[in-house]
Amino acid sequence: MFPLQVTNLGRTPWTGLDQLIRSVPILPFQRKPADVRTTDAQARTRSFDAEALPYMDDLFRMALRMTRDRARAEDAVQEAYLQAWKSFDRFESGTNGRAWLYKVLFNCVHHQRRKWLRFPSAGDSEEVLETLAASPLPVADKLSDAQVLEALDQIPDDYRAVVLLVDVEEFAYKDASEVLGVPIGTVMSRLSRGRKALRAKLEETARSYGILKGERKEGSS
Amino acid sequence: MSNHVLPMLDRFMDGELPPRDLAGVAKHLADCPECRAEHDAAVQTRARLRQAARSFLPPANLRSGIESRLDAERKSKPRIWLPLAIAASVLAALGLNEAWQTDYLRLTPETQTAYVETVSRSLTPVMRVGFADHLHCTIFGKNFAQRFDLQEILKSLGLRNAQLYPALAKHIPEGYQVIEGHKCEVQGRRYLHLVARKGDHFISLLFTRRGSGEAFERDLRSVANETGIPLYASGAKRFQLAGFETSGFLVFLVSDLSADRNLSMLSTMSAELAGVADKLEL
Repeated sequence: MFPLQVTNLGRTPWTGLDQLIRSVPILPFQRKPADVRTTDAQARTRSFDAEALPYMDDLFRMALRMTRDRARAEDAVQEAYLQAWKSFDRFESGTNGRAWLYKVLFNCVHHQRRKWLRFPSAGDSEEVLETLAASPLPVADKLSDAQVLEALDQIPDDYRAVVLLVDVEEFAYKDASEVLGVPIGTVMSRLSRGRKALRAKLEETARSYGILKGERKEGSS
Repeated sequence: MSNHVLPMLDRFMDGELPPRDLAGVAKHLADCPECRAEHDAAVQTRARLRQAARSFLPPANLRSGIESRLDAERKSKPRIWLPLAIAASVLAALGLNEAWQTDYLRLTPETQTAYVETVSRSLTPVMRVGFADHLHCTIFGKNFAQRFDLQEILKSLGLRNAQLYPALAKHIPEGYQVIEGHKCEVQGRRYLHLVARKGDHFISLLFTRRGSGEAFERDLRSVANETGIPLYASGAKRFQLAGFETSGFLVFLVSDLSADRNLSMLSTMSAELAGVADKLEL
């Protein structure tokens, strides 16, 4: 007849129809359903909205760079908020709520990627990266935002995730490791390689647009 | 470069280096142009990436999209139910009618009016005219504890209106009895009111004088016209209303039968009722 979650009744356990019927006459009739809902539920809603909603633009930015598609990013963010709401009970106030939201978001992005097999992935081949030496050329300043992001989009997902979390979202290593569910050592190695890869891609991009001419390491500022 | 501080540069620029290593790295960077260039390039790239990644336009409807999904979830599965909420659900399932008739509810005139307003909201003004009397007189009036005998009914209905009794009695569904017929007044408006009852279910047949300009067709399309009399129908909560108009009267049938049965019941009575309408006294 209606969803009944006995386990959630707390201190007022379900003791059967008799009690239920007896409780009917004391119900003030003008009460609207919204008022009848427990204040616990309202407080929970308010607390979640206050804690989580301010981060939606941040989450979208992250999802956009991970999915490289606005519609998918929006979908992932919506799904992340839904999942976060469902597991809000398990979230302990005082822990890093922002990191927790990103963790949920990453789960949603991964899930979405499995769902859409054609989801373009930048791959995760490390061999390419091992051959790259970081270039000290400060090319990024010569590129447009779109060109910088084009370079970023080409580095492997795992590295891109760490670089975004630390460089753009400004998470501490510890929080990044929590978001991704990997050890701190892994965060550091992926960050190091990711940054190197990004700078190599930036240089490559600059060259492809004719912004950087000549051979590698030839230019100077 | 093997003696340089390159392996520590990431942690240095991210502020993740333990304090004891900080001074050493800083000093090396001051002295070594190679490491300094590497550090500066890395910091510059980080700043540029941060700027580029933040230069995006969030979708205009991002917030509303999130909120509508959250709302749907919150409405569909409230996680915490306490007795009041359960009681409200049970009340909704039982229906006001039963709850009221079985004394589970005590309504003040104010809450009655509030209830009538709430359930009437979906109705057109003309439909509300009939509904208001059914609710106030039949549901809230609750004066049918004892069965009236036919003489009583005919007397309180008025002899000129007596023929309404057989008109209704012939057409009520099995199990119902005509238990009441009278003249009543709700919110300054007079009605001829006949009531049939079966347990906690009531059927009201109502006549009231048409005010100037009052017509069902102003706000509603007729749903049946089999007898040459256009019929109109509406529903509010679990109540079904059907009605038609004559030159002098608005006629209503209100019940908690199905919409089809309510309408077809009025349809079979409509010719007879319209035929006597001119002679009614109210």
